[in-house]
Amino acid sequence: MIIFLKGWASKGLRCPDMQITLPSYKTPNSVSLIQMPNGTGKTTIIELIEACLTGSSFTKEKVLALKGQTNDSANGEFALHIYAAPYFGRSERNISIIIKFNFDEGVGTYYTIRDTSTGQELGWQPPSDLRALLSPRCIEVFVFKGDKVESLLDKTRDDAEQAIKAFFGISKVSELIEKINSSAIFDLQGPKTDKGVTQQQNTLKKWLAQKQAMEVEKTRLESELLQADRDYEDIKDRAEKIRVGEKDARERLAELESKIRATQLEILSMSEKTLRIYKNPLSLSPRLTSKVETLRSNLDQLKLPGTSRTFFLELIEKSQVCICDRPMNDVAKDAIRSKSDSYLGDEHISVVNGIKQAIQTFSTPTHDVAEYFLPLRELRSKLGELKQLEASRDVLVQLNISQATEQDQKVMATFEECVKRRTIIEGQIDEISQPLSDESLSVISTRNAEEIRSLDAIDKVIRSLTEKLAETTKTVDNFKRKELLQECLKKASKVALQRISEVVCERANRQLRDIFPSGTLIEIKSIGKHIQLGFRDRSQAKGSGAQNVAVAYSFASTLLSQSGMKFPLIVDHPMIAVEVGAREVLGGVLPSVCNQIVGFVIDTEKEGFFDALSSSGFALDTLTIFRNIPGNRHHKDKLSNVERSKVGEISSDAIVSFDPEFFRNFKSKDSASSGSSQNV
Amino acid sequence: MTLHEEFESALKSATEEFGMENNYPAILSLVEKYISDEMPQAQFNSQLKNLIDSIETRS
Repeated sequence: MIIFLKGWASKGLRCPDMQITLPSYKTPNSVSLIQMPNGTGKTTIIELIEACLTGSSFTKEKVLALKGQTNDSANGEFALHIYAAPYFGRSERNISIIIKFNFDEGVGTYYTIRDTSTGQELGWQPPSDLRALLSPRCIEVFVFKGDKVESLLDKTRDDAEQAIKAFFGISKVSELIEKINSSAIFDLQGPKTDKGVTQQQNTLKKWLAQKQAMEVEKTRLESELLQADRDYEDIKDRAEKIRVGEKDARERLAELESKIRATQLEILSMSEKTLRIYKNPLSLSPRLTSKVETLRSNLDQLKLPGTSRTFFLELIEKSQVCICDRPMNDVAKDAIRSKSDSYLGDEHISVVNGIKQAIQTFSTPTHDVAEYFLPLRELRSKLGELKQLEASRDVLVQLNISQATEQDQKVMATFEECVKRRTIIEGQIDEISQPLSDESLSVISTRNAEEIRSLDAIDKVIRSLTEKLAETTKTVDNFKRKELLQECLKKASKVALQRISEVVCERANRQLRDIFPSGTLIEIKSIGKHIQLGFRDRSQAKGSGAQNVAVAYSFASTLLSQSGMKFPLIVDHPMIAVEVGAREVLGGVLPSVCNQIVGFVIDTEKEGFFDALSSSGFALDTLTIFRNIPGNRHHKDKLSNVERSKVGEISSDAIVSFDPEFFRNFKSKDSASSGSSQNV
Repeated sequence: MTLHEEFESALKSATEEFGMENNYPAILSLVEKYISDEMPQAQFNSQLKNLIDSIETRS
């Protein structure tokens, strides 16, 4: 299936009102560069494109933040237009996903046009053949920021594996395995009058419903975390700058943080040492030692089984009368000997002696008791020192923030809110992903299904209930067959994933070599949960800006081409992290490895890239969008020399140019005055 | 390379490992139809039931 981004339209939002149709939207290997100066709403447009592709929900705060400053109405709208080329006998389709915002109520509602012939339907309902690609994990692969591609390389994340699973349908096989599980309930039926069976089925149904609810919740939270991560990445450098303050404060803060790190290391080492000492509990309490010593003395007084045996043996040798007053004849002597062998074993003596020996060994102090508390006192003092250092650091940071401008203070408040939001979402995801030990199963299964959020716990309860139901309904064989089928599918998925990952790795490396024909000292060593980079025998966490970007393009385009899907790569700042020389190389070859690239750029990242693209021979759209405000009068004036057909709609909000020369010569005020290449 | 090719081969090995080689065509058909979203729920349930009934468990 070949999908193109056709364009988008916005109205009443933080980005200007516009209707964009990309001229090359049906042309394979095309590049559309959208040049927008800072503050024109580029980030808003990309966020809304992503939302349309994933169907993610909007918080009230998010909706209110999207409202355009000049919009007096209660409504706003964003529409994403997608073109699906004909394939396998299906005719071409024009698909639109629309979000209608109500700013009074703070809600965003999705509508979908699956084809121009079907009309607008309520809800996010992309066609089923497209839906498999539209999970947050897939979208992250082909809608990304050129300067923030590290998530694929981050070993603490599993983005690469999740993307492969989603692209190649392995996620769908996992879904099928689950479906086999949930369908079990319909087959495990006993006689209709059997109340016990009905009750068990109803309980199982509740747990299955809870499982479904938690899966939906997990997907929602993952999507929110993705957004929160992006918000965090956007703001963290600026927040750090504000946090560390000006030169003097920065130096003082660096000194404090260095001391804090050193103290933390000391505390770690002291804690280990202290714990080693305190592993002997008898060392901790003289009273306990004395009590154990008393126990040892008392054991000496104990009438041991061995002693009793000696007593009976002496009795039969020396005494004429037994202790029960019967005469001690040969029959009685034989009986006593035989019984003493059975009941009075010598091994009891060695056990008790072992206990006494152990008490002596462990209760004999090797140090003065007071010495045992010395490490603890030192540790406590070090912890106090750390607390003081941290307090000094916090005071300094607070001082820096209070001395910052009002705008910077707002940035810090937003940053802190963002950090808090990420922590909360991560906690909620952890709660759902938390594994359950088998021992807790009996406790969990007695609780209401709605109270349990751990998917692992829910799965285990469902399995246990299904097993019981199978026993009740005498369908254990049926249950075993289902389990066998699931195991078989799981094994096949695991092996297929491993093979596909190896092939993706090999082909992505081939693309990397195409991107850097004169060679580069980087390759994908392996793809597991994340992409492991390296070269020959060495591994490395990440490469240079250009290498990381090239890896992201290679991985994404390999996934797309190998999965039989062709989907646009939508990239924010495709070249900002890449040095000019490498831009020339990438610009010449990137279109050949991707079906469609839609890149949102600022003027400073055109250098090297634009010329290379222009001379590559591939279709290139060059859009420049700027706000229709008095400050941009000089840009508007320059447009009077441009052919009318190359100037898009001029709204009260924005002006759009499609002219390549205008694109090439456009310089925003920011870059013209500062020469900075960084997006703020 | 498609999932179909890789999965087909992995599934063939897995069915042999689990002693279910006779069920291989039916399992593959169920997976293919499920992935392509072509199967209505009733047909899915019926095909799954037939498949499960045909599996022989090892004693």
